[in-house]
Amino acid sequence: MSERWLVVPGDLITEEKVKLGPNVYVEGGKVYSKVVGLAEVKEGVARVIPLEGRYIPREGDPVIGIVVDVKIPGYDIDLNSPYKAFLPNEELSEEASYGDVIIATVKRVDAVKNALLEKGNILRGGELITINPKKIPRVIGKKRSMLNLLQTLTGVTIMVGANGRIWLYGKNADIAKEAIFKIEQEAHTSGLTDRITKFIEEEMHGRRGNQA
Amino acid sequence: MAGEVIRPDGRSYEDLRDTIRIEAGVLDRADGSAYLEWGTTIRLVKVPAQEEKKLSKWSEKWPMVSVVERREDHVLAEFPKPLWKLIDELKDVEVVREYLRGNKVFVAVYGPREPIPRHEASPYRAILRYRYTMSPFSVPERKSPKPSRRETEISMVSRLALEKVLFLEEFPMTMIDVFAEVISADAGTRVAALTAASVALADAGIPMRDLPAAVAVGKICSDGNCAIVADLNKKEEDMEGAVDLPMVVLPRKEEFTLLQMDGRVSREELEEMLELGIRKAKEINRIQREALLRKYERVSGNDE
Repeated sequence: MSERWLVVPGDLITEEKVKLGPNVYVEGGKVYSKVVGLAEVKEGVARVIPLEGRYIPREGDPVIGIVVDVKIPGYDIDLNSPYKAFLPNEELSEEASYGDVIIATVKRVDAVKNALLEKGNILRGGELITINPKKIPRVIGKKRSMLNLLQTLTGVTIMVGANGRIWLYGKNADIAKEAIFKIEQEAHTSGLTDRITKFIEEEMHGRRGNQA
Repeated sequence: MAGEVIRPDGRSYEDLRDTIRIEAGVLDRADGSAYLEWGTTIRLVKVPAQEEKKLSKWSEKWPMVSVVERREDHVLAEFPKPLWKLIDELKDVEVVREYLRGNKVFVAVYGPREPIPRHEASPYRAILRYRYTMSPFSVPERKSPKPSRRETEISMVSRLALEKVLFLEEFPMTMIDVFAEVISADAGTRVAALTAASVALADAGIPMRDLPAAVAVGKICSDGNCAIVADLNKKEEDMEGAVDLPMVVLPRKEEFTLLQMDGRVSREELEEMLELGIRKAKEINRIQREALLRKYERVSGNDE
């Protein structure tokens, strides 16, 4: 595992010549952090993985939104973001109404960051939770490892939106939910996968014990 | 500046007040928040009546050593932390309790969020709002809850001081709201609020060039002697001929984004004050950093 360390805005990351990743800036040839987060210099790129902040739409992101307005050409979608999103009718196979939960992909982001969505689907039933959007990468894990772990261990269907919304469907949804909140709390620590595995196994075991 | 000036609470010239505590992420409804306490820790002491002579001698020298209540066989007296060593010189004393006299500020940051009113939004950057308010109960005499001219003005200069530090251009068509509520005031509330606001903004994840630290330095005079001092408290600010210079410093580049002054000083004195301010701001910056890092260390503490 590469080295990561906690930084606050204005902290020096490196004096070497590197490419700039997200959340860093250059001044006088030195690279500094813009936010509170985990700094990392890997393969000649300096970046800071932020720990706080709201969701800003990016092209290609899978997102989970709520229909806030039904218009003739499509739907206005709330993305838990300062920016608005629009989903055209032809990107949704069925008709949605106010309050429906939609999973979609960000197709385009315009100059003032409002998003155009595509490939929409309505999510019915289940449960919707919201966490800090900056902790979503940790919920998904490297190559979806954490998400696969959550799904196999609990048997819950989980849809994760990059905007911090997570949709859960299944019998053990409450265990998966608690595990996700635990990941959110401890996102900046290492050895998280092992702790989550242990946590879920204990919870599942406790449940079986109670039923017997 | 030949003779010596004695600070009312017994601090040396360059000392900040003894307690500056910041906690980040204290309000769960806000996107970012901070709570700050900045003041003097006072010990309330029960002193036998026959020791009162010593007390009155001390309080002549340091006005913040004071008798608050007289009872039959004893008196209750207050001692600020820098003068606690005096307590040991008294016979049969008893420390009743300890409390903080100073500034207490809550700061909440919301945003970036949808701008209201919409017509104020800019397609080039986020608009920043800063609202500094003092609670009616923050001062001994009730302060009218109506926003005063003073508060409006402090809000504006504070906003200007922070605008330069934030990467507002990353969030077009949005608004960032900063609310600073002073719930207890004892001189230097605007710098206390700004110090907390910069922690709250970082806690909200808003990109910044640096963590700005705010501090006030000043000049106090007594018996014709004057001294440049850091972090004036209410007693000092009210002294005859006192000068107060609140400032916001970007500690890394040693730049100022706010400088205000109340009083008159010479050019040499001003330069000395700015230099002292930078050094003190760096001290405050360390407290701010620790506050932010502590928020995450608290969580990783429960590893095992």
